[in-house]
Amino acid sequence: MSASDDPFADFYHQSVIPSPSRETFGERLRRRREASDEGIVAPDVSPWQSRVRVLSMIVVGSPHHRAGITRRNSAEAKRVAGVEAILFADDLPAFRNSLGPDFSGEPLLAESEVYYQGQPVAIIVGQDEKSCREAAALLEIDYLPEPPILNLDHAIARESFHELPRLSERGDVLSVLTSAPQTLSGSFLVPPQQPLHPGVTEILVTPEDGGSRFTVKAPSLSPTRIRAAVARAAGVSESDIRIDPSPIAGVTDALEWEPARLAMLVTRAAITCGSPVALRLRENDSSLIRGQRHPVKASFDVAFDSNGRVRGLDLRLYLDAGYYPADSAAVLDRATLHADSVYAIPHLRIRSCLCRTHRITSSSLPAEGAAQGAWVMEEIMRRIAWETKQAAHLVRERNFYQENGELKTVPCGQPILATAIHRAWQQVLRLGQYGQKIDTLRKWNQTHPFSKRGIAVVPTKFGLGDPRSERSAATVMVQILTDGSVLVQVAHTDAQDDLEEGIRLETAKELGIAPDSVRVILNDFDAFPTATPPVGTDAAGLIRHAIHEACRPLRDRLREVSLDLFAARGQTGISSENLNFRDGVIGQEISPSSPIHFREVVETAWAKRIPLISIGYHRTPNLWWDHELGAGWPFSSFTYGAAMAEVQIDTFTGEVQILHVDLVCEGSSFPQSGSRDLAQASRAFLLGVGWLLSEEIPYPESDLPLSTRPSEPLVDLTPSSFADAPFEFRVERLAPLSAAEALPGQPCAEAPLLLSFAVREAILDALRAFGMTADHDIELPFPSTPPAVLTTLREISRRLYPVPT
Amino acid sequence: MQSWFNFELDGETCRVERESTRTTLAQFLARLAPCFSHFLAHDAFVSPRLVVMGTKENDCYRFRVVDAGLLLMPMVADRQIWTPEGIRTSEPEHPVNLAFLGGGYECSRERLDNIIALTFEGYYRSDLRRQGQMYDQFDAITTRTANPEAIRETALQVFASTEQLRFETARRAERSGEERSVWTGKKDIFGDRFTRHLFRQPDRRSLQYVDGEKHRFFRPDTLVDLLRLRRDYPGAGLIAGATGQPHHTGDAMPVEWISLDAINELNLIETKEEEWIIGAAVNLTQISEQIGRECRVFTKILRRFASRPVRNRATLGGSLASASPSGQIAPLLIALNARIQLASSDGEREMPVAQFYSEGGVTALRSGEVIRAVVIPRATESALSARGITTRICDVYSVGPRRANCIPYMTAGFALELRNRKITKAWITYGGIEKVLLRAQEAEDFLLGRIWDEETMIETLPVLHRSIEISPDESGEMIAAYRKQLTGTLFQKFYYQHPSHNDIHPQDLAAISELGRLDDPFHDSSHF
Repeated sequence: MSASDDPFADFYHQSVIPSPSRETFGERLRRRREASDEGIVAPDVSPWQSRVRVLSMIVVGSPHHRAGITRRNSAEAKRVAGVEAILFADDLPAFRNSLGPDFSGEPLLAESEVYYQGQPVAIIVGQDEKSCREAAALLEIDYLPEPPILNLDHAIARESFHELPRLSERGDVLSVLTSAPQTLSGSFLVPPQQPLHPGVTEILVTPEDGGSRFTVKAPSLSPTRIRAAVARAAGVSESDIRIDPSPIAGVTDALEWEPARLAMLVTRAAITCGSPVALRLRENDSSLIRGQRHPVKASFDVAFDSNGRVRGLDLRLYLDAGYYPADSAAVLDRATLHADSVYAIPHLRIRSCLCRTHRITSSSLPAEGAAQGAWVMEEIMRRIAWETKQAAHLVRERNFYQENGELKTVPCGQPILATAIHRAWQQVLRLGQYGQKIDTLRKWNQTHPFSKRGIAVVPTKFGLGDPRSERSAATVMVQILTDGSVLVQVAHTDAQDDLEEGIRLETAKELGIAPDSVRVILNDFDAFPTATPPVGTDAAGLIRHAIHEACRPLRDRLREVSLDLFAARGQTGISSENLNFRDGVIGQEISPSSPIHFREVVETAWAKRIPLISIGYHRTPNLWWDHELGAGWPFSSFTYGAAMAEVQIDTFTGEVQILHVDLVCEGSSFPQSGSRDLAQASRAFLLGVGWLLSEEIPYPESDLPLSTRPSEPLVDLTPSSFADAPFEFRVERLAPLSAAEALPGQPCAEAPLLLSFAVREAILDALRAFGMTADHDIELPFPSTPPAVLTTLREISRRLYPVPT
Repeated sequence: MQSWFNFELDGETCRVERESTRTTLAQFLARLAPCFSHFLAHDAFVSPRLVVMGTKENDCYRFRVVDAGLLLMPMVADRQIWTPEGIRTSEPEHPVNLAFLGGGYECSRERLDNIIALTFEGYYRSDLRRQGQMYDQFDAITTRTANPEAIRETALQVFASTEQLRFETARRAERSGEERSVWTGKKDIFGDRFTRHLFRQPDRRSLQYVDGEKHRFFRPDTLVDLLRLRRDYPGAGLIAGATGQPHHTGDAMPVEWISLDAINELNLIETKEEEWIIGAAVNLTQISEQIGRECRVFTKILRRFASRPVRNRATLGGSLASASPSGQIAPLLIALNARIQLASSDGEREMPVAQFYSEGGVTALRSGEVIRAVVIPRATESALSARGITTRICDVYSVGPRRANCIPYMTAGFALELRNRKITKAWITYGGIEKVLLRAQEAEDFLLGRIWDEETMIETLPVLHRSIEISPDESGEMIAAYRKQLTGTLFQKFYYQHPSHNDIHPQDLAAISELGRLDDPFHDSSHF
């Protein structure tokens, strides 16, 4: 086949890496000559230098939210000493200037237009960051700014949507709303939250074997996604990419999507310069590494009776998906699927829209989407309670799914366990001594005019898993070594949150050996093609099942070997089903005399060349989700919980102190790891508290370009410290109905985040003690920072004691 | 000049040669060994890298947690440093190590290290008595990845064990008649590896260090030497706690540093009948330990000042001289009617702290002058009656987005001197709004001669509202409006917490005093 016949010819030409088998020596020589004619001279570095040097790189982002690019010129900038390369979109092969399917058509480097502030327009590679910054100052890029859409209201008004609204419907909402005795409408905004990166985020790409292989080091929750992205950017196969994992501390310490975009940019820089390139970003440097939760605007019409029982609800959810949504559609689905919370609403319609704004959004923080959805519902419940002048906790309770009620499923069709909702609810009321507390609280409020306390209870159901069913799978490899010790490799990012201990205990239990002899290897992505993402999945539950899958065949094989060993001892007639693995020995359940040591069996198995390596793969069966129908079985199961919070507000400053938190949630799938459960629950809860109380992000953003802004607004993002922690924090595991009841997966890392809404509710309860009622129509803004609370207090006093005119 | 110095790292002498004066301890450790590589990822707010420093303050031996990223290398010369790694490996059976063996505290080893360092300090802390103080001990920990409840439970056990140890030693000492020395850090009651090292600590001597780039670091041991150096090197930076050091990055960093660490006069707290004289280089924690029992407002404001490792290093002099933007210290000192002693080669002078700042946060420091000490008058009965005053009411409020580890929105200091309920003098100051200070002169004048009651307070509010203008700075309009509101509401709070002249001691935040458990001791000595 001649070159002209080759349908992929264009592809080869545009690829930067020459295909050595196709290029003859003469062609190579000609290419070299042409390059030197055009003034492209290979950088003057010794072979030794080129091997050890690591180049620095910076990403030049757009200062405008939306603009056309009219001119780009890097001639001046290229003259800066130490600069190796400057790349614009034109310098990349058109075929490669794409972030791929995950980022819905976003180019790697902006072509003729930019659609969000910070969108990469150029990359500058140099010997150090200083020279790169010098060059960046000399870069000539002319923009023609256009008016951007920066908030949800604007997007809704302009009907700037990514797709048609998604609909989830049950019953006949419209007729209920028109005929209902009492209705209520309203709208509010759940603002974004920003993850926090301590120090510097470093992404390092090292080309190997002349650019045919790459090693990537990037902090990410999903390193296999990075592998796919880098392979696509470099035009090599995924098998040629090696992931060098970066340590991360907790699931809030890294992002899932952003590092993939950056790793692709760094890969292009590394290919261009032929040497390792490192990109170091501080949090304030670029919006590319920041990432945010999706802001959600909710507006609703709800019909209810005088007891606060909801008859019908028409809910509209608008989610800011930025200009290029990554996983925003899945987040929207999660919000929709959690928006009914634990309430049986007979007539329900949820319309959810993916709004297109000139921003960058992302998600990877725990309970993304689910929290926004559930909080919207809890906010509506409280407004109903205030409107009907009923106690909020009674209104909530009346609306629960009932065991003998008509509604047995959530709107999408997945069954719900009504008894668990009630059990969690009752357990938390008992744990926090609600009845008793509410009396003391009322008395306290009467005697303290200048600070008030409030209390609230909030229930939750949380779907384990994700509408993207491909994420709900786990792989585990178990190897028994010759001395009977065990290696467990799990395709999972190590967030250093004690999951390892759970895996070790589970494996040890499966094989009946001491946990000390099990070693767990996380973060090894060479062994497995995909990894279970730590958030948005029931990772611990899936891994636990995968361990079972892996250990079963191993036990079967060892049983056969032990039978032979028993037979050699003259003990025959033992059936292999009766053989048990316990305390490092293998023996019969009925007559446990003279068992054989595990180690002895393993040694014999090795001698007999019986493979003691097994791979366990588990996927949650029968998951499906069709967003067009609004139906499916998207979650492996629901987990239930409830929380009670008590807070105190200082009238003079608006400061809020959390006094008590009582939390009930289902335990983890590793039943032994009690402390891990509590730790995860407390972390998730406090992450939510930060979002609700103190982490203020400017939204909508300023529409001024970066350079003309007076100065960055003082964004104080440090998360709450120990001094803000609740004075008392009790976590209890939801008592199972019976011993046989199987515990579902790992709810602790995400579900308690939804429960942190109890803190906001408690603040509102305290504001009520100051005299706030539904008639005042005052809203407490998210997040409830001291200024927001004080402003609300002032508003209340204005309504209560109007100044006579 | 010498180009080397020694310090003690994890119980062993470490010789440092030609190391740049700009290197921080965190950077040095990160280079020293792979087990310290995480020290490089330092961020004072979000991920401090904590180590424990053995110090000798006012003849008492103490362990203090400090942030390795805020210590310049020459500052640790002749000092003892224990890294959490060293604490773990040197004595695995130490109560702190035993307590934190399990999991579930923090999401990573490096962050658990911070908890270990803080608990280690708490174990040897002589004033840690009540459970509520735990919030103050651990406020450097961010809770996004930590499990505060588990940390609290474990630390509770550790602190109870040390409390018991102290109690038993005290009882033994009581019999031998030397009870006092047990509690003050003057005698080693623990007798473990760490305290044995601590009590062997040398006195700080003078040091003249020059690094490979000819940057100098002086540590004089007398005030005379300091003033001489100040004259010889007018561009030199004075360094005490160095908690503001990250502001001097790169080229902005002075070529010469003069450390105040070894000058005895600057590191002393003198308690006199009528006043405390606090050396400019004494750290805030130590001041609170020494005067906090009597001057409770000091302890109160420190609870909301940065975090424990910063308080362990930050000094009064540093906060005043650098016109610290958080502005928590100046309103406090003005409310306490403190005076500032300045020294230069021309002599000494003294002025009220209120006069130390002029417009835009410019200080009254002349070239070559240093802050020697801060004099805080004691509000004892005899001192007041000598001036014809019946009562002095003083309180300071700091309001921030969080309780600790943040830049507060505002700190307000109020003080009134009364003669039979009539106000004879008033101090109203707000810090942290504009450069350093806002003084409500008009309101102060308005209060003179009036009776301190609700009516006066309400009549003062419009005066405050009118006379204080807050322009929105980089923090935006909403915060400016909030601050404006606070100028009035905090004054109201001041009145309602101190409505009568009898109520001298400021109350703590109502929530804390209401919760019994927080006020419980770690260890109930009534069992013995």
